[in-house]
Amino acid sequence: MKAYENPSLESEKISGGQAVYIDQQSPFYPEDNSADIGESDTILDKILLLVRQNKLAVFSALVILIIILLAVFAPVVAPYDPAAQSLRDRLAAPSAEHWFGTDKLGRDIFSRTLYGARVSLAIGLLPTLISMVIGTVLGLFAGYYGGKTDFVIMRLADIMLAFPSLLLAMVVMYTLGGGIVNIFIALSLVNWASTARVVRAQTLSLKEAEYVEAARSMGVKKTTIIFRHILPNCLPSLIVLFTLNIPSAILSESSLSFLGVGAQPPSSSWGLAVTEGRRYLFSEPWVPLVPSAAIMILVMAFNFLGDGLRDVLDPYLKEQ
Amino acid sequence: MSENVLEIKHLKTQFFTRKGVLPAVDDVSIEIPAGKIVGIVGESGCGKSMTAMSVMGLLRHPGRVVSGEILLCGRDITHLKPRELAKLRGKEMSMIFQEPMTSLNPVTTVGKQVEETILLHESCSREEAKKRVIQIFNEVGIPEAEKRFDSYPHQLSGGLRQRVMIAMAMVCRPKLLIADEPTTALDVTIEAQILELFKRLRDETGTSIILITHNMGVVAEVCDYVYVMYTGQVMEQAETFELFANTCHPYTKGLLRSIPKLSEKVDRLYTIRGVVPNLLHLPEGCNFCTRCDECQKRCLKEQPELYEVKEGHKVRCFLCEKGGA
Amino acid sequence: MSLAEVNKERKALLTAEHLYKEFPVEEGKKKEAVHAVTDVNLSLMEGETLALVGESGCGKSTLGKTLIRLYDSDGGKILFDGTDITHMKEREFAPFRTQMQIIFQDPYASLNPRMNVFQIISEPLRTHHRYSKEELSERVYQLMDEVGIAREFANRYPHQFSGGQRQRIGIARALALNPRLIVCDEPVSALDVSIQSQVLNLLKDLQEAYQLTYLFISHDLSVVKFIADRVCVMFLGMICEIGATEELYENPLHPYTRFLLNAIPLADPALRSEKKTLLQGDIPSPVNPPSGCRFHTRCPYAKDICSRETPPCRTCGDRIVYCHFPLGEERS
Repeated sequence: MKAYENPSLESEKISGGQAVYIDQQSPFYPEDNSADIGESDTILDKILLLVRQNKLAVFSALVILIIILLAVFAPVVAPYDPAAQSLRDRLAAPSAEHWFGTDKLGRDIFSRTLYGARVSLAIGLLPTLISMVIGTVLGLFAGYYGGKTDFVIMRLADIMLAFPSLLLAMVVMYTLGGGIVNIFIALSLVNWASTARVVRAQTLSLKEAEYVEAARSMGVKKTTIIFRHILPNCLPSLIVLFTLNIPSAILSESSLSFLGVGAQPPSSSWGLAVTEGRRYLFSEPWVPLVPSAAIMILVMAFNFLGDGLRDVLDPYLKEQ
Repeated sequence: MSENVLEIKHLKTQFFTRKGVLPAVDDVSIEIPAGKIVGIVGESGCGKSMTAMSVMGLLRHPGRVVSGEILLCGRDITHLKPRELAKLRGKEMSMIFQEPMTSLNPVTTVGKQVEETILLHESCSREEAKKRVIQIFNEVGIPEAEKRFDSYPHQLSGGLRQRVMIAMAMVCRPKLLIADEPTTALDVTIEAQILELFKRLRDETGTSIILITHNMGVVAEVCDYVYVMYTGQVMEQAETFELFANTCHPYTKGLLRSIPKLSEKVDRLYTIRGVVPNLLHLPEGCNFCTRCDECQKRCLKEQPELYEVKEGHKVRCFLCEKGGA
Repeated sequence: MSLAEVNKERKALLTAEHLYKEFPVEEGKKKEAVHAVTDVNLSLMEGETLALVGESGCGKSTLGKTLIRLYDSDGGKILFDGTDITHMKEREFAPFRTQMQIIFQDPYASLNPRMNVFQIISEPLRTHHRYSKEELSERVYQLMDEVGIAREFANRYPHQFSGGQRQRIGIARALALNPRLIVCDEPVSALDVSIQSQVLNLLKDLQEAYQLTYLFISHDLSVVKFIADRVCVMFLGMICEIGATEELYENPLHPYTRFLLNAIPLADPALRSEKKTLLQGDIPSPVNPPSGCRFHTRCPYAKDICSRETPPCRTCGDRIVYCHFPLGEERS
């Protein structure tokens, strides 16, 4: 009859509308007995739900796990020293000896890709974590205190977001010089703004929540309210955001390295490997294609996992 | 039998969840005579809304009608395809919900939305449709109907929004209107106006109305027949005056006694002890036995059926097995 | 001893004098305000239950929250136990904070979903006292017993409880600091009928046990009739009428009170009146409230003066009515 009649089901509280959503939400069917309380939706439940619902996300998680294991145990797994040159074998095609062939200096591409995963994962996880912590704290304070605090923080964030982040990172890298540690700093500084925005928006709505009002009525301190009542309720979206920010950090590192301001030779960064190999795209295609494929697989895996997590943790964002 | 607009026969609707099968509607039979208001009353989770959803074909996964028949004007609509059902919705039967704001599209004017409903089901020109919208707006008591045609939902008060919903539901002159807690979100003075409107619609258009509510006062005010539901089952059904004058089921009695009365001052309210059981773990015998003051040994083991106490008055309680309490 | 006499003997716990509260709204360039509470004078006697009734948007919740300083007032004075608390700094106010608590309407929204029952109930205690671990858990368990939540559920999270049980948890939290005043903001309107009566009985028992003073905010006049000693009827941010419950229900003086009482659907079809006198029209917007008596646009008895002048405060015993033409006087 009407396209908009369905959303109303979600707002039903009194008439037992929960039954409709029983699959995703709390399993109680309206009023439960004191002796017979519904079980909780633990994290385990949610993971099980993810496993059942989204095979792709689970597969992605597996891929990520394997890449992490390979990166950690690279010295054990890698058949060659990633830095060992062998000019006799330079630009060798993939073979039983060199699975992915060798590059222009005769280094084993398979081994270098394994070591490169360390760089990419570190860049993906650490700067993202740092930038998100910064962004979360700033977003919480901007949202909760409002007024001038909010104005200053958010204009700063606007400025950060107005610059192309890659350009900004390049500026930082030029100032600080190349190298992995500096990439860490550059990416940490650049990426906090989007997190701050998301957290601020959530804080704005959460601070109107009745339980926050209840805490105020008890005289709970503002900082306590922020960290005890608001932050934990932002966590699900932060986890999702984290998984979705990792690939963009990985891509930024690759781009920076590709442009020559990121990782410097002889680092085994994938981005650098693509730059170095791009001359051989037509003659010896495995040289640039293997690191490119590695970047693509890792980024896609994180994206799929992030989407899957969002579906489970953030039912509001999910479209029916 | 043909004068019944809607007949629900032994309807069973179940939700197949991870934790088990929920009997949301359990063997419910309801008859809606033409031109009457029938109330379905009960607490949350009693299955009153799910009964309505089953009729409208709006059940969502993992809910499913398992057995039973739904006859709309004698035609079996239980097994209709979604598209055929969609054709009936809005034309033959329509439904309004508790919170009108979520049922209205916030970015389209209310007039356009009602117009769409007409154009969807009938072939007529836009001008003609608009005329009919303004006419129905007047009928449901929206003041300055022509001006309101161009209003957006957020510009209207809760009462007016509910009137728009009623207009939208009634514009194609359905034979059956299902109103799911239509006044719960409204203020008392507005609620009284809307209830008055229901009575008028029944008398003037002959539409049958199913009024789903948790409020015994609303039932007493406007309904001709009442079905009291509890944990998916009909516990008691009767003509309204009969039900209030000659209440038989302990649950109905308890519900009526636990409402604070305006006419008397008491120190403590009567309470039905405990809470509604989880539908996954219903008691073995009568569904109400865990909370019933008159519970006997037999109630713990056997499920009572609906026993006829008087003509048209049925009670699901062993106390009434011999007819009459 | 009549209730009026009882009230005279009791002292006022909380008094509001000419209290105002406005919320700024920006519509386009115009800066306007929702006049949520306008010129409210009210006294809450020690140990009584005063009900604030009215329709949505009448400012009853805002008034309740302003009185316990959850919102800052925009004019007027609030006295708690004789002390002016209107503009106290947060630190000075802290000892008063513990004496006034609030129970919210929506038991689904008023409990933090990520805290368990123990954490929720113990939060006010941890904020204001330095209890040892044992003392803390003893007090929390005692509170849980008090409101009827089994002790073994201390580690459960709110979503595992039903509405009625959640409301009990909210009540335990409000009781934790041994307050003298509890603002009950529609505490039962989100609950099922059979659960509603359980919670109402609980509130009444607790009041008796701890000599609590309640400000009971509700739109349900039957509930109010059961629980309140006195009733204050509000319309669009202003008080219409205050009086002892029985008297006010028997003999409403303000036309609005009468229409409100008339509109309640009664659970008895025999009392069904075919031609009820119903209030027509909608509630005017609190952004631009009508001049003079704010009820005059809906009032069938309104005369010229009603749209021009704010009605005066008329008192008769402990009955207060703001109306130019109270019922039962000129017209009877």
